[in-house]
Amino acid sequence: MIKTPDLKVHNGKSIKGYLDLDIFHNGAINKALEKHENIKLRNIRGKKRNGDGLLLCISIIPSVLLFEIADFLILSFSDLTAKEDFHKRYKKLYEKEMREREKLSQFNLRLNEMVDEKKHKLKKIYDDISKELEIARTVQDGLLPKELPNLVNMDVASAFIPTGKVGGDLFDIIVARDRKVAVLIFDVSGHGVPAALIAAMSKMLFTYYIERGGSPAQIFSEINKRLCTYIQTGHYITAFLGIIDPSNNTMTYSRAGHVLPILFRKSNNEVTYLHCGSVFIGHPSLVDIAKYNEDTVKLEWQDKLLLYTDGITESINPSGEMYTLKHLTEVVKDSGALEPESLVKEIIHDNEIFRGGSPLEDDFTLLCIEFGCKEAILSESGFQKEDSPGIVLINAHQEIETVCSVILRELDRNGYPSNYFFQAHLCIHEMLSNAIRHGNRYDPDKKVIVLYRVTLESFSISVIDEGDGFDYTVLPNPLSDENLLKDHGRGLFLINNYMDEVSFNTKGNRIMAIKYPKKGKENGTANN
Amino acid sequence: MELQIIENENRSTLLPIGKMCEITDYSELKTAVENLKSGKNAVVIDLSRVTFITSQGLGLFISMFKSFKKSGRKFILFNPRDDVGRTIEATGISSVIPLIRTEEELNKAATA
Repeated sequence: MIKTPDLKVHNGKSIKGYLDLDIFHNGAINKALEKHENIKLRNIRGKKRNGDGLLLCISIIPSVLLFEIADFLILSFSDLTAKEDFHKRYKKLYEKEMREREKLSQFNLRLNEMVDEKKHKLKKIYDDISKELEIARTVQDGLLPKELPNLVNMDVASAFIPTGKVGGDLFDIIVARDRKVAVLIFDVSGHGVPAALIAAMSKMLFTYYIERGGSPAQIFSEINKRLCTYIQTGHYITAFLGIIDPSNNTMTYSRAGHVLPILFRKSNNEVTYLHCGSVFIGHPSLVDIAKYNEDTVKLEWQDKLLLYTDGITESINPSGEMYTLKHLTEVVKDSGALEPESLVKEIIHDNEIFRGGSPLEDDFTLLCIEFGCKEAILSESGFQKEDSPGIVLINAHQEIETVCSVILRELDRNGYPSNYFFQAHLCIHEMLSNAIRHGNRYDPDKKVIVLYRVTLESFSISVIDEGDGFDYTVLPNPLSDENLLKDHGRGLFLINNYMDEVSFNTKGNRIMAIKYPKKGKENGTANN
Repeated sequence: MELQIIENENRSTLLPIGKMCEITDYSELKTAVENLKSGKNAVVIDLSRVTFITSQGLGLFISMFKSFKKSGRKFILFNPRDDVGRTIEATGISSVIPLIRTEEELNKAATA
């Protein structure tokens, strides 16, 4: 039931602080209401002069009181009849008004419910899309390497800072054929699910072609042909691919429209860029015309290669200035001597300071690779840092001959006499075979690290296995009568016979042998 | 490594070709030798076309030698290249297993 609000009814007196208006001054009443002023209406009477004063009065009361336009409305009636008449008519009209308002209220309620319902549906659609994007992001994250391979001949650190959007940055380090190591970074143009899908597709293609073998330019060319067919959206990718050959410490690389990689040279603390640029990959317009160049660079110990995407160089500070390659280069030049992980942190820190709180516009991807053997392995090997030995890893007997070929080629390049090759071959083979058979006991999870150095003056080789070692101080002599008819125990004897120096570490899981070709021993003369 | 088998009147000759350094090579050689065990003539390993050999290969020759010796048969290493021959000699194997370099000597040794 609708309750009639109380009205303060004042008989005739003027009250200070209120507009004292004649009931027939309509314009003045409306203006007062617009200004939210308290009003006193006087001379309220029945039908006279220009209209029904009571009706006008009654119609404005609910608006004034219910909607709190004014605190008070003071009514002043001209006579008692008008006052009684007012009460009667006011109550009737007020109740009608309230019923209308109730209907309106119900309608508003329903309208609000409908709006809420629509909002709920929209939110669900939004949540579903967000969930899909989140899955796309997770898929994309899954394409990034969980952990970079633990390589004895390089130290690697990386950073990937996503902007929250689904993007197309990816990188990887893949151990390819013949122990070569491929370093890859690429960036798909644009963002969103299409970019992520193209990134996933590209990653699979890169992995397949890298593992299959081939040079970076050949691999780019093959992938361009495939992607030009697959991508119909106008997207394309920029990429850098370097294939490192641990047998001669070189990297052959190709750059397809990607931002310039930075190479920090430890020898002079200078930086250079790996130019050798070609067009990007995968745009349909390139299907028949794209040609990819490649170049080879020699890598020295503790040189660092820095790969990144334009999310870094194109990041912007609050003044609208761009970070730029120049800025990044300066950081690398100043901090290039740091370990890869520290250098990556330094770049991230410097970029954060530069941005001064401005958010990243694009994913931030960074990969730093330092070349050269890790300190612990180097000190175990018997080599010195300045020797810069070549490094090869194997874990299976079948790989021995590949390593032999790599080292024998080095001997050939250095002009070693051909009649030494049989002996060198035999010694390398025996050292590796012992490490795999006796050291690692054919365990495929254990690796054999081979470090070697060939100069005109000497050929040195160090082989480290992951076994328990052996007592090298008690080596049986295969020439003694009790050993002559044994079917084993001649490997170390032959190494000792054909190399000039042979040594072991204390544990007995590392052998190092050196040959001085100019003074060597008499071929084939047993010295035990 | 390839392996040829040549049967003569007084000897069975195995002719390995290439490098003797892979485990699989030795398996092949072992099988071939196993197939000769029922015979009575001399067994000759013709090393003239072997370009490389490891200590495992040398150890295998010792095993074969002992096995044939038990059944009273001769086991001979024949005509190795210089490098291979020097390695056989360096390890003292030639003081146990006959290492023969000429056809004439081989005929004598196989029939003696």
